[in-house]
Amino acid sequence: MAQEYDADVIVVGSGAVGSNAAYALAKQGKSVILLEAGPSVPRWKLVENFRNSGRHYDHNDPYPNNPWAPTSYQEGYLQNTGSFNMMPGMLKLVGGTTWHWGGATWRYIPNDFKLNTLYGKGRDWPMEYEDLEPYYTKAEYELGIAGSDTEDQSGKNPGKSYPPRSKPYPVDAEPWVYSSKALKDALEPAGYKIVHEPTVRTHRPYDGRPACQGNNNCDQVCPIGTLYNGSIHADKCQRAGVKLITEAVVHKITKGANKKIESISYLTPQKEEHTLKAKAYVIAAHSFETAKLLLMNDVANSSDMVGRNLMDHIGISMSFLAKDTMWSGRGPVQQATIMDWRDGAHRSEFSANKSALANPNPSIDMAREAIEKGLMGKALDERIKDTSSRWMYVYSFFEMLPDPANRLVPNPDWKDSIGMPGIKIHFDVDDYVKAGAEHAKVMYHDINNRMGGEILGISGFENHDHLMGTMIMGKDASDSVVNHEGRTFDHDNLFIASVGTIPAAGVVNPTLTAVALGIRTAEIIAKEV
Amino acid sequence: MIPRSGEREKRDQINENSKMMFSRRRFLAATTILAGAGMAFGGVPQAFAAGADANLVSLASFLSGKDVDPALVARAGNALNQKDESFAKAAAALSDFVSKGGFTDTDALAADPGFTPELQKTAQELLKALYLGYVGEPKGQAAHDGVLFVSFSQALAYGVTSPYTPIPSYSTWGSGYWAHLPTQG
Ligand SMILES: Cc1cc2nc3c(=O)[nH]c(=O)nc-3n(C[C@H](O)[C@H](O)[C@H](O)COP(=O)(O)OP(=O)(O)OC[C@H]3O[C@@H](n4cnc5c(N)ncnc54)[C@H](O)[C@@H]3O)c2cc1C
Repeated sequence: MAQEYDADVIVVGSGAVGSNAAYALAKQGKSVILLEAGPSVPRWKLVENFRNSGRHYDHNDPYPNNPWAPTSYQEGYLQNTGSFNMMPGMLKLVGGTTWHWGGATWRYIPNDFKLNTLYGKGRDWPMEYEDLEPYYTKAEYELGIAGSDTEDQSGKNPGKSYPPRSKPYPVDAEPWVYSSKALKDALEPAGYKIVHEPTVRTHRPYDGRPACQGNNNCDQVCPIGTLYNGSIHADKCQRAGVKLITEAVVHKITKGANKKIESISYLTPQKEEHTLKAKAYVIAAHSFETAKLLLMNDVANSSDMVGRNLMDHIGISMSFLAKDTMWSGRGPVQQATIMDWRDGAHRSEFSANKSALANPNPSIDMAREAIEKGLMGKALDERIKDTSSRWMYVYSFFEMLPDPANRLVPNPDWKDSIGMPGIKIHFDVDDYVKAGAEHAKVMYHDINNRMGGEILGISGFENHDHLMGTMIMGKDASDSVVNHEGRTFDHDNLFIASVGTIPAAGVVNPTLTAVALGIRTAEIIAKEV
Repeated sequence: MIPRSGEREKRDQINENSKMMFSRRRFLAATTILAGAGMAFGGVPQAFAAGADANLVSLASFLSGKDVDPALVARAGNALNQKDESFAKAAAALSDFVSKGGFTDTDALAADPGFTPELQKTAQELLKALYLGYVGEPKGQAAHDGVLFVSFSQALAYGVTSPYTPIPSYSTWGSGYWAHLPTQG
């Protein structure tokens, strides 16, 4: 009897990566089911949640935190045993974690793909920049990226647009924020290389999204729908015939004959179990949940690498008061980026960095600090105005190397309302990053001096929510979970679409790369099913 | 291009307010006026009415050096009492100290040796609730920390800076306004 299928392909997770993979499959005429653990929530409710909470320091706060689909800050859900408290922001609703993000959408540069060959550190990718370039372009047009077609994003190819691109950005670069421009003017004469951050916060209308109005709220919730998030493609999926099932928490992946996955099962919030079959399966439940799911089901793990090699762009930051008025908080939340340490021979000794100027509204923090100093009345208001007008914030990402000891495993000691385990994480910051941070600090002092500033503080190591390595991609089945197609070595019809497959972290925000890889995977699957 | 005329009016008003000095006479006058206003709140539920206490409104105005919306003070008072039920008593003690002390402004209050760490703490708690728009100690990377909401758009910190930087999520200044500094400030 012929095998019956519920769909050609089942995609798990409706974040930016899963939704784009599902949409690419639907566009090729494939029948697709998209399973999402969380609910669908309209933007206006999220904006109201944001405005009616005092907890603006918690980016997860406006979003649903259901007992069967908790956000990452639900107490107990993530437990750390290492020296670093790995606590990334993660959301569970249609559209996923990109509901709150900076929207930074960089490409890796060609050298990032050959870290080991060029610098003797970490791992190479099992593909080259040229292999991914057409998919970067597709992803940029799907997401609507505003970026510069003339700037060198590597810091190593002055005067050239770099990395090479087959098509210009769909939208030109944002107008410079005043403070970004001031930083650029102060640092460039000293040889600093400062470029626009490519962004999904389009300043011109794009694909039904309005032009950015500078609400300065990207990493909480964009009130007007300018900033791209995965729900845009979850919606497109549905219009293209994809069946989206919400509040469906996948918990079982069942192995069949001939290295194939036979079925996938999900639980509803009421713990009803449903089982579905497809010719191929794409798991796009973000790095942690995907690894957890594979480990729970003993799937795709013959290399013992699932959940290991966890890398984030662990960073540090500096806040300072510039000599002149800057008014951080006007316009986009981030923009000017310093590329001096993105690539170069130093990568054989210490971590590269990408450093950038953030542009959030500091008023509340400045008020807190002034009140705690004992200021009241007129002096309090004057202090808030003065410090808010001059406050600046520079932050850096470092390139972690993959280390199998940095890992996560399911934690049966904590369970959600439908019995799914929590996640136990062991994570240490390596010496390569620590050495890189010392170099960044030297740069911080120089930046502060050139801005005539006064340093308020330099932070310790911080989370940056970029969760790479947990389903590491490679050439060799003995030390990697997926190949360059995103196909698991152990199961021919099981694919991973996630930042978690990235084998060399570089220093740029990784989501655009994962979307490009996801579209590439989808096109490969489309030829097979 | 920015800010729009409506914004400019609002800013002028803010500047006017921040120029005000809350003399003892003003402090008492405000108390009297708001005591009347307090009566108008007679119909609201007890918990809310407790926060709308006229003395607290006067205290909030004195400490911040400007008129403060009684509704905002009520919300702050409610949240502070909810967090720590001894707040009402502490606020009454501070209020009493301020009105008996005859202080011309907060500088005079700060300089007074009788302004004990305990009274300072109460002043800071009230100011934080009003300026930050929440009550409680934020805990990072936790879904629950018991922080209570007071206000977002009315938080007094934004009252100081909103002529220059939009309150996050409320910008009306149009795309590209960020390329320049605000026209004043
Ligand atoms: C504050 C913040 C700022 C950031 N800024 C940037 C930035 O500027 N640039 C950048 O590149 N990256 C940024 N990131 C990281 C970025 O958000 C993630 O890399 C990205 O969201 C990953 O996309 P994804 O689709 O793989 O996962 P997600 O967006 O997390 O989506 C995964 C989806 O899978 C669902 N799911 C999980 N488990 C199951 C299950 N068992 N069954 C069914 N569904 C499931 C989840 O509910 C979720 O909707 C930021 C992150 C944060 C927190």
